[in-house]
Amino acid sequence: MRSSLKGDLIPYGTYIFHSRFRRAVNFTDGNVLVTLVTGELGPGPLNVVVDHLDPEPLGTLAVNRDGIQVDGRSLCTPETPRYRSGWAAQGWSRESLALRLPWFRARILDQAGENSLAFLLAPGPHRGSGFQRAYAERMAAGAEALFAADPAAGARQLKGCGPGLTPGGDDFLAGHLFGLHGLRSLCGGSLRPRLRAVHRAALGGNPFSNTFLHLACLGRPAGPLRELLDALAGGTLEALNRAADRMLAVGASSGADLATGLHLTLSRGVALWP
Amino acid sequence: MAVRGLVKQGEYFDSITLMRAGKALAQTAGVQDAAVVMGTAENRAILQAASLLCPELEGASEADLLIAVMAETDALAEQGLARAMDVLAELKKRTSSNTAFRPRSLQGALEGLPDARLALISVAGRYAGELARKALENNLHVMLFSDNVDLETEIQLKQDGAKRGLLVMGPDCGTAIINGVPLGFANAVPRGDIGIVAAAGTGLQEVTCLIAHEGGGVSQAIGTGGRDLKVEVGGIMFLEAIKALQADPETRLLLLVSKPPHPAVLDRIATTIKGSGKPVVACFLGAKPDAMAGTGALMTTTLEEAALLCVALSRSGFADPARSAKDVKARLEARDAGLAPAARLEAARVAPGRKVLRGLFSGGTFCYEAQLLLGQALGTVHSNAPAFGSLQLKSALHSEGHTVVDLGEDEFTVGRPHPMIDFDLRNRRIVEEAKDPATAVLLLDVVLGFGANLDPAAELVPVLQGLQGISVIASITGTDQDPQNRLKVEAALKDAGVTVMPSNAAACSLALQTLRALNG
Repeated sequence: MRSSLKGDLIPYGTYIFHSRFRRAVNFTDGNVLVTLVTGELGPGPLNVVVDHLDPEPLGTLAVNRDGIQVDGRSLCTPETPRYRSGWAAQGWSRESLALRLPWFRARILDQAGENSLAFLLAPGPHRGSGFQRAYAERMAAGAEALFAADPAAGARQLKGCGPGLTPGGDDFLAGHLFGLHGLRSLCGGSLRPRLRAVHRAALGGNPFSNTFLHLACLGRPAGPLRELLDALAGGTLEALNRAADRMLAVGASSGADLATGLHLTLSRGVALWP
Repeated sequence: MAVRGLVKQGEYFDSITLMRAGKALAQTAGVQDAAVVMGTAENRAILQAASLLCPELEGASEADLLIAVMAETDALAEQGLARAMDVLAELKKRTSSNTAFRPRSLQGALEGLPDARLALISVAGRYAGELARKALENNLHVMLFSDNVDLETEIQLKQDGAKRGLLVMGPDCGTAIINGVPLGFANAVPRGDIGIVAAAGTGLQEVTCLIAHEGGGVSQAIGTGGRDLKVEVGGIMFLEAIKALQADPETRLLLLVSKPPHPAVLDRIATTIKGSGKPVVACFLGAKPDAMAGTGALMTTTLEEAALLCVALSRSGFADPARSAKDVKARLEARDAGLAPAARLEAARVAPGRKVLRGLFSGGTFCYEAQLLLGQALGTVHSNAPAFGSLQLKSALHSEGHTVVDLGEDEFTVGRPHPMIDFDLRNRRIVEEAKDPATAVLLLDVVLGFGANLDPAAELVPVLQGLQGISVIASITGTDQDPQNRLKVEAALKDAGVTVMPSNAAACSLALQTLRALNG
């Protein structure tokens, strides 16, 4: 197992194994989550991209001035290239968003799985079991509240909601925060207090979610999201669809939930905030 | 109503897995509602709103996994929790089996299994060629499930394989049955004397299943990958596979299945089978009837005809091949003619004003065969994978007039599993098509077998039950020995109002006659 690209925000430290999925293995020190990922998931500020994931159980990840080691075996050296996660909304305009957001919405509705939050983009009666209805109603109410006078109240309704290691509500909020970042280039500093209020309210006891939300508040996207944000500025339909598909393929529903939060924020924000 | 809950510590699953586990629980007999979620305060609030929060769950931490079951009685709720434990244990087993020792190289695998004769390769396309080359050097036949292997590599591998007397099935070879072992997407069919070579994945599945229904059996089913019969590759592996079956003592009859090969390749196939000593049936969908003239091969029009003819020949001891061919044709013509009353019944289900066909296929060969069988009769047909004069859809997402869609095309599979596994996309499209006031007949394929969705009825029935004013016609490719059990799937679809036909060709025939009954 070797790495050819590492994130630019991985702090020195020792991280222990947290959880394992098909394309990712998570390590944590209790605060920060560092993830070994395959090329399919791509780079991110806290990701270490590896050529493959060893099937054996993994124990400890060490990040120090000698590079990164897993269970004492070197994954990469200090010279290994870093993924630069800094991003600015270049080329964004209300016109470019007005053209591309309908494309983006159509792609989400078409490609997102049935268990994602994409239903928030096409409101209708909530179906399924009592639990599913209660979940859907809470998510819809929380999403609506994000755009009202007290956005923190909306964030509190959404955070931590949903099954899975990163609950759908947290992924949605990360998309919301990235959306606010992008809109700052159109609306100026007026959105900063909103960004900070939502971020503060969204943090909870899940270190995995907190990591994503923190990166979203800083505006530091992983590779697939950066590609999508840039495509929204000036990409062709084909480029936007490609970027959206890559984003929607992240995690079980995480990518779709984040994309839903991003779309809703951009489409509502453009209309609401001058 | 009784609600019981359980807290599990240190268990992590992705959200889809937990949603599915919750859904499976909710569908358990006697269970009214259920949820499996991480124990965040907010999730506990949702459980409370759904009346699923019970005292056992109130003290859970965010890192805990919560299981909640609401049932008619305490005993049923307890049973629900026990079922949840089973479901989670199964998921955990799958996870831990993923992390158990697996050989990390071809050499490691060969050390563990020195008698292996075949390597099944399913890795990213850019690595697949090199791995296949190493397998050939180790004297292994290769099934290359991977796609995105470039054409030059494919040609080199196949030339190398042919020199060594080894098969290279693929790239992008989705199905094969070797010595009775199903590989990739394949079905549980009995062994017998019919050897198959196919450059069409679902085509191969259809003929093997129809052979099984008819009481026949398969000696070997060799896939070659769809590009093999193109002029650049020259049919290298199709020819090698034919030679292998000619030499195989278990194989008494050969069946060849594909779209029409390039003429130069067809010539080579003709030369190879001429005087082979074993009867040959060919189904080159859409090829001219005289494409194999002078070779002794019997040409068939549909996959169904090919399968039935093979079994008829095998049964008759190859006494009179021409007679068997004529009998099978006559039997299928009589079957199609006998569908008229069924077509009138289907037409009676259709609401006034609805006039067009919408075919939603998970198997590419079925979409192709449907265009062959329906194209001329219907006039203009649109498709995202047009053939036989069909018109290209402006957008694969939106039907126009009579439309058949191959949902296995790249435009639908980027970032999601194949539609034989994941029904979500087709289910949504079914609802859309039914909403279109023009749709009269919905034509579907349901492919069973190893690798395919394990419970297709559970996926389809809730969607199909709600449809009104249209006719839904489906064919099922599978056997009663498949993990899904064809009989059970068929019964469930019929209960949902679907008319189930024995083959894709038969389903197309009924669809066509239904439209004729409607449109005069």
